[in-house]
Amino acid sequence: MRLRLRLAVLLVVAVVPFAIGLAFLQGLLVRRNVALATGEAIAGRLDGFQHDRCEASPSTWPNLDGPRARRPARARARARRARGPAGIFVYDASFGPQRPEAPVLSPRIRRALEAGDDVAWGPVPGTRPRDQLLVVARVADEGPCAFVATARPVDGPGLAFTLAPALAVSAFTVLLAVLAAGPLVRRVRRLTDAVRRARAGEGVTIPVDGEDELTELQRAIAADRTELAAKVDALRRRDEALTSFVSNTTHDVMIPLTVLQNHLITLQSRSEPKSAEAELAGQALGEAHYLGSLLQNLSAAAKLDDVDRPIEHVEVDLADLVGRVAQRHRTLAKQKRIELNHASPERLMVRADLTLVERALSNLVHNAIRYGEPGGHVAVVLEPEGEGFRLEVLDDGPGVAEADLARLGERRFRSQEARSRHPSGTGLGLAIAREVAERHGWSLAFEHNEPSGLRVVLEGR
Amino acid sequence: MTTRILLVEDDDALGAQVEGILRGDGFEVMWLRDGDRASKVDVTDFALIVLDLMLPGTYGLDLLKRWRAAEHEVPVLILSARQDTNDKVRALKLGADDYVTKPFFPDELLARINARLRRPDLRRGEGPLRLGRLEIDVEGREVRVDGAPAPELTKVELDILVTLAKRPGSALSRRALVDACLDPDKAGSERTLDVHVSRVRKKLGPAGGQLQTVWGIGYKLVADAPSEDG
Repeated sequence: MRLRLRLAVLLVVAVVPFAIGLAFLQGLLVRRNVALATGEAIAGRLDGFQHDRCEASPSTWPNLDGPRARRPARARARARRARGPAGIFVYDASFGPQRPEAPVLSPRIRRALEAGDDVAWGPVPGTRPRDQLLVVARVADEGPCAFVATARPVDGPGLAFTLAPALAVSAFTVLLAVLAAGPLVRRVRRLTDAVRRARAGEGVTIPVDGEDELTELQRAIAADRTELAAKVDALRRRDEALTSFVSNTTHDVMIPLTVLQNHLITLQSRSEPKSAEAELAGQALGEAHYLGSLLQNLSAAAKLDDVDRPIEHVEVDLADLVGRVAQRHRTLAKQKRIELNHASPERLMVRADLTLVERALSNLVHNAIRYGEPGGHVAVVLEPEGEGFRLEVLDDGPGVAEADLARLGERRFRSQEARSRHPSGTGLGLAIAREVAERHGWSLAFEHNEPSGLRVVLEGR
Repeated sequence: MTTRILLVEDDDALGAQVEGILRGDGFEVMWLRDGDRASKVDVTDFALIVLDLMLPGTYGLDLLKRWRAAEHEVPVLILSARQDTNDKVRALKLGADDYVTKPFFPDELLARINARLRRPDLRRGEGPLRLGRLEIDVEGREVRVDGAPAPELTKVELDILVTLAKRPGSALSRRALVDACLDPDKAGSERTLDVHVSRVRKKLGPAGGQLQTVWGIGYKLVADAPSEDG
C-alpha cells in the first residue's frame, strides 16, 4: 500500500497545481480576447462622423444619437446583460470622464494607455472582476473624445468550470496510476515473500514474470539464490561426509584401542609389581585411555558444533552415570595411585543427552586424575538439590592459578591459542564439559578446593 | 553350575579378549561372530548376552528387537562405540538392560555384568546384614560385633550406622548423612556428624575400621577391615 500511496500523493502534488495554473492561464486568455475584440469593435464603429459628433457633445454622446434600433441586436443584448454603468463612456485625453456616472479608470489601465496601447482593460469597479471587463479603446490622440470605454461581460466558462475537467483528469490519472501500480506492487510483494521464505530454508523458487526492470531484478535474485543453494548444498554434503568420517574413524579406533588397553593390563599383571616394565605398561595404559578420550571428545565437539541438530533429551539416571564414569576411571586412577570415590543417591533422573553428559562427566573426572599426584584423591559427589541436582568433582591435586580459574572451560577449542596453551588437549575436554552444560541449561563453575586442588560444580535440573 | 554368557562380537581380537575376560571370571562363554548366526540361537539357554551393535549380517539392534519381540527376558548388555548417534539410547528403549562404551577396561565390563546378574537376589535381602565382623539387623536395629552385642548406640549413632549399612560399600556424602540422621532442629552440622561417627567407631571396637572416611565425600561401611588390621 505504501508504494501506491506515495505514487498517489506524488501525482496529486504534481498534477493539481498544474491544472489550476492551466485554468488560470485560460481565464487570462479569454479576457484578453474579449478585450481586443471589443476594442476593435469600438474603433470600427467610431468612424469620422461619429467621432465628430462625440467631440461636439461628449457628455451626451452616444445616447442622443439616433434611434437605438440602429444598434445591432446582439450589442443591445450584451448591453442589457452588462451590469454596472451601462452603455458607452467617453473620456478626454487626460482620462477625464465626460459623464459623472462613468467609472474611474484604474491606474493600470491609464499606464497601459499612456504607454501607447490602443486597447486596455481591467475589472469594472464595484463588480466581481471575473464577470465583467472594462474595455477602454483609444479613438483619438487628443480632444474631449480621446478614449471610449465600455463594460463587457466575460463570455466563456467560470474558473470552477474551467478547473473541473483539469481536476477530473488529475483524479483519473491518479486512479489509473494506482491501479496500474497494483500488479507491480503484487509482483514486488511476491518477490519479497519468496526471498524471505527461501532464507528461512524452504525450497522456494523465485518467481520470474513479465519483461521489465522488475523481471531483471527477479532474474538476478533467482540466479543468486541458485548459486547460494548450490554452495550451501556442497558445504552441507562436505560437512556430513566429514562428520560421518570422524564418527566412523572414532568407531573403528575404539575397538583396537580397547584391545590395546586390555593387552597392557595383561602385560602389567604379568610383570613384577613395581618393576620398570609394570610402570611403563601403566603409563602406556594412561596414554591409550587419553587417546580414546581425545577421539570421543572430537566426536562430541562435532556433535556440539552442529547447532542445527537439537540435543536429544532422554530420561537419564545421573546416579547410574556417575557410578559408570567412576568405574571407568578406576583402573586409570589405580595406575596413578589416586583414590577415586563417588557418592550418589540410588536414582536421580534428569532429561539430558546421554552420550554428551557421559562425555562431560568423563572429562571432569579424567582431568582430575590426570593432574592429580600419587597418593592423592578424587571424589565425585552427586546430590539432589531442590528440583534438580548438584554434582561436584573435587581433587587435592595442585589446582589451578587464580588467573586461569575463570578461564577454564572457555570455548577456545576452535582457536589456535587452545593448542599452544594446552598441548595436552585438556582445554578441549573442559570446553566440551562447559558446552554440554550450556546446551542443557546447566551451570558449570570452577573453584579452589581447600586446602588444595580444584572443585568443579555442575548444577542443573 | 557355571553361568553361560552369549557373546556376539565380530572383531576377532576384541572378541577373543572379551571371551578371555569372561572365562577368567568363571563364566562359560559362547562366542558368535555374526548376527545371522546369533539370530538362530536359543537365547533362553544363557544368563546374559553381551551384544555388539555393529555386526555383519543382522544388525545388533535388530537382534535385540527380535529377542524382545519373542519375549525373551534374558539381560542384554550392549557394547557401543559410536559417540555421535544415540545408539545406546535406542538400544535401551528397545529393551537392552545396560551398556558399556568402547574402549572399556575388563574391570568395568565384569562389574556391569556382575551387577546385572547379582542384582535380583542381593538388594532386597531379608534378615541381618553380615559385613566383615559386623552383623547389623536393619529392621530390628541391632548391632553385633564378632557375634556379641555392641555397646549400646544412641539413636543418632544407630541411624548413621543403619543408613550406611543399607548401601554397603557405597560412600555417602556428609550432607546426605546429616539430612538423613541428624535432627534438623538441633542445628545438625557436618562437624556434629564427624563427632557422632568417631563415637560409633569407638563403640564398634575391632570392627570400627569398617566404618571408613571417604576423602571429599563422607563415610562408607565396608566388609574388609583397613590395612592396619592385617
